Amino acid sequence: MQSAKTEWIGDWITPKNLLVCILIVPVLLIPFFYKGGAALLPMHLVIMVASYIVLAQTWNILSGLTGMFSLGHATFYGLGGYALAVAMVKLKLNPLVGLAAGIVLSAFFGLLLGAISSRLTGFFFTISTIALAQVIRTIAMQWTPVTNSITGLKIFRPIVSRMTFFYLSIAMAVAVSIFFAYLRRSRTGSMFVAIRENINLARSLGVDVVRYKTISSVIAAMIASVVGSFITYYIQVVDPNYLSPIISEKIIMVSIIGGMGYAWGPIFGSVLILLEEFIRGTLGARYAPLASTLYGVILIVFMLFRPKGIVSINLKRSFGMAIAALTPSKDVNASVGPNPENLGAGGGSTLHASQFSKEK
Amino acid sequence: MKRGFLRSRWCVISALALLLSVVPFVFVEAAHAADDVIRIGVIGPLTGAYAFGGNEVKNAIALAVEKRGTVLGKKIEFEAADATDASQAISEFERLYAKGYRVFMGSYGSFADFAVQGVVDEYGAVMMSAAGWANEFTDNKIKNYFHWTPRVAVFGTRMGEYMPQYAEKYLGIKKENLRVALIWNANYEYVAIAARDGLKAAGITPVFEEGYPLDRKDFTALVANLQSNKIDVLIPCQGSVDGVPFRKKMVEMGYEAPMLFAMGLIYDQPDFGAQGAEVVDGCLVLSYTHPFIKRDNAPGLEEFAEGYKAKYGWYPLTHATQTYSATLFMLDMIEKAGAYDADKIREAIESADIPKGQYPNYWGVKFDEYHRNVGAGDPLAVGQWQKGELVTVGTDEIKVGEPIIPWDPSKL
Amino acid sequence: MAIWATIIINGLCTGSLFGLVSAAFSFQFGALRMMNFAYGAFVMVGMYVMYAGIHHFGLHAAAAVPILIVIYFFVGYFLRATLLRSSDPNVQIIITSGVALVLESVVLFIVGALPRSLLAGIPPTWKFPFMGGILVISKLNVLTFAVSSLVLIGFALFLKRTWLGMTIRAVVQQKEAASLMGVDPEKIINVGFGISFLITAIASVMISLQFVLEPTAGHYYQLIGFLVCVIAGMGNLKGGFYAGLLVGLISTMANIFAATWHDAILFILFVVILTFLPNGVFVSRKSISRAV
Repeated sequence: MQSAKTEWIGDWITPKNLLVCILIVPVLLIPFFYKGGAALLPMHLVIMVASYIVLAQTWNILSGLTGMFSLGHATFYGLGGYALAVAMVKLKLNPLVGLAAGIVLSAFFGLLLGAISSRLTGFFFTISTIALAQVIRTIAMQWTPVTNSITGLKIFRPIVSRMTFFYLSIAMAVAVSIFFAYLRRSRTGSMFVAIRENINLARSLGVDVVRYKTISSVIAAMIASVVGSFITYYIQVVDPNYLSPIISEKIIMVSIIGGMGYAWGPIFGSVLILLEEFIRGTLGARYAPLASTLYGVILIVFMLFRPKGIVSINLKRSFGMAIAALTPSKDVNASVGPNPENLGAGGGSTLHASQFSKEK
Repeated sequence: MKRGFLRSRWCVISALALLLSVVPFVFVEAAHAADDVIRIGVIGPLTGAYAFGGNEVKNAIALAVEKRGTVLGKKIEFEAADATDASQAISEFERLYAKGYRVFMGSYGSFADFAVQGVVDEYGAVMMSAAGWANEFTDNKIKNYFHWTPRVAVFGTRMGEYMPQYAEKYLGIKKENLRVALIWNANYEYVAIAARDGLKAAGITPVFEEGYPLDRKDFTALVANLQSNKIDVLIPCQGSVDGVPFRKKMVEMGYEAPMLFAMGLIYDQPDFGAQGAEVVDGCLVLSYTHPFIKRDNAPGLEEFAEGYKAKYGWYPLTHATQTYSATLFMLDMIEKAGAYDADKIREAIESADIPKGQYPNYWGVKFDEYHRNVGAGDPLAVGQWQKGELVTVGTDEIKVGEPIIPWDPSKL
Repeated sequence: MAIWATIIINGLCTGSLFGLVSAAFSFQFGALRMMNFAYGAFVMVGMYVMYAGIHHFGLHAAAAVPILIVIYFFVGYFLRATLLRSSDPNVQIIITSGVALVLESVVLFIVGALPRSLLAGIPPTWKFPFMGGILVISKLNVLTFAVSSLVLIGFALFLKRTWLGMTIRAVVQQKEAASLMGVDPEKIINVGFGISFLITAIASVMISLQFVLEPTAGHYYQLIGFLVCVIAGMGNLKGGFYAGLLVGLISTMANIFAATWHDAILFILFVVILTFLPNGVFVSRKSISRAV
């Protein structure tokens, strides 16, 4: 928050960011490490993880920055998917037309959400997103001539190398994450945060609350729709599962566990998507429901003890706590206090430090 | 800022990023196992809304693998992977593929198979579905993909063939005068469409049609509508969530259609039968061949049905029966191909021409250019619930009893 | 004519069940200020507990119901006392969503997804000749209506007349003042949450008598609960009963005239009412917590 717009680029070239960038390189090289079929699964996983990063970033814009807590985010994803599939299968159009149609459709839906949010806030807004998601899902299930009901639509496309999808998805995730970081520091982003923190104060200071809420939901909707189209084109199937509350829950979980309102949040939270794969892959199918159980438990534990997500975990402090617990010496306790760098790091991040003292 | 780098949370972030970049590698470390086994995989819903059907399929394949024991002198390895949506299906396919699986059986609920259809040709694996029947699913030319069971259109055609015969023989109504009602839930609209097409081909237009959402709770209005339309034949396309309450509501309101002729789905399943004789008796149902057909003509059916019951506690359903037979067929084809190689197995399957009565499901096997089994669905089984038991009453080749239409318990 | 009477009576009885289902949620949200998104999941678990009690442990229904109710009271009490102490609505939503996820997946793991029915066979009915037709009334429906109205009336009386009920209302309206009078507000809210779970238990028993049990069944009842609460105005228990009846009727009418779009109609109605009448159809302008 403290840096002015002009310093923004320079701000980003720091050792930490460079280090992280270097660490992405092994991921980029995945296709070359394996021979034959062995590279397919890691690539697929990375594509899914990258998609969820993008989806969670868009949710992060809507809910993390602007405070419009949505439980129906899968709607945009599904709309994108259906727009692409309907355009390709039913209307025999170019996939790009479908992509554009999905963006327009989602933008319209984002406008609707913005309009609703002008009248409803908090919990009421949240349940209205659930209801709207149900309406769209019902339409996908019932409007058989267009959507093929539960069976869904299967698209046929020329064989595209998995690598194309792989690099495209990573590029998308990186671009949207940088866009989020940029947005958060921009003037618009400040308005979003102002609305989240205190809507009445923001309004009294002359912020056009409805306008910024609508901007937020339209941006989120459009990007999420692109992901929907992308995944549909990649998997070649779209069905009502794309619109299911489970997808919404996953998106939210990725974002919250990583750290709601932070650019890095969804990136760390997306480890969860791998966790699910891991459980299904290693424990076997019989234990697959337990992945969801674990999700739930992780979610609860994070909400109770780390409401700001993985991003807020401070290794030094955690070690300090552990050491302090083992050896009650004054020196270590001294280093456990709030870290000045954390305080300035994100929108409302002072909270976790102060909360710490509040609880104990 | 620089001073704080090592003490800051960026330390953690870097560590996590490192972790993140390494995690994908963990999944494939077991990639190349020994080559002295034959691997059969199945990808389908083992959890979620379709878990019951998915587990039936898994159990049936396990039994078939157990029965054959070895193929080409090698041990058979079988793995079931859980996928409840398309993306999971792809990743499970690739996980098994990386382990060396090249032969896959389809599972219950089309969406997983639907997704895998898109990749089998790309990577060279053979897959056979023994449950998918939607048109979007069966009408694609995919080189390495085979459909064991009849598509839904065949079901519709058979409905148009069988139903008027029964109506004329037992109700004494010519098909021109039949008042047919067709009802379905959103999940099975494509089944209803197939039924409508089949009836149309037979010259019958339903006088009453209604489709409704899957989570409908209250069927009073529907039963009342049927009652006031003076229906002769009721054709429901319903699943377990709506079929049972609907049927109960019918009986509760004292309404019985002269003939209820269901398009498979819930109406031939044990949890329908578990509702008790007063609920289920009299319902006719069209289904794939199942363990309750005449077992003399279908070698191995007796053994399978009883073995399944001994192992899992209930009789297998149609999908289990079909999958069991399809798996036996697939193992035979691997034997015939002489190698565990997708192309050779495909050629073996394409050249197969097996008459009726060789496999536990009774049907013959021959694949057309869409790789649909033209022997499938000839004949379909017509069952009737009598005293809480599903009795096969048609067609003549496989029946074990006679239908009672309209239902009258005193005629048993 | 008799058919219409049958349909409407049936719709009203189903509606009363919707009213009962929404009551606990309405109380939790309106009075206790708790967003419980695990509400539907707890209804679902209650149904399975009944099923297990009757079919696996061989209990008589009359014994299983009180056991379920007692268990649920303590579940509610300890849920509030341990997980739901935060007053931040977003935290509550996320934690209860997590609880719902855990409950659903554990039920799925243990019992599988096969839909089950609690009662095999046909529920008994009364049949009357009525205006040239036969009026069919299910005894189970009448029981549902009776139980729903009794529970809701009893609950309203409990809140108005008993010491505990008055204390809950006092704590909700003026936490500080109540604690000055020697009441431990935390404990009272815990008890209130426990009591709301007691109603959840009764609702799940009534649902399990009529409808199919599935691990995902909770989603629908949760949405219906939201819908009824929104129509009634959050926290308005009396209005909740009427709103339930109204939803039952709307649902029946939708089933007759546009069965395909039944769900879409209900949920669009939901959004429209929420947007334009956020205080509900049955109350307006009154303070929500006072209306309890």
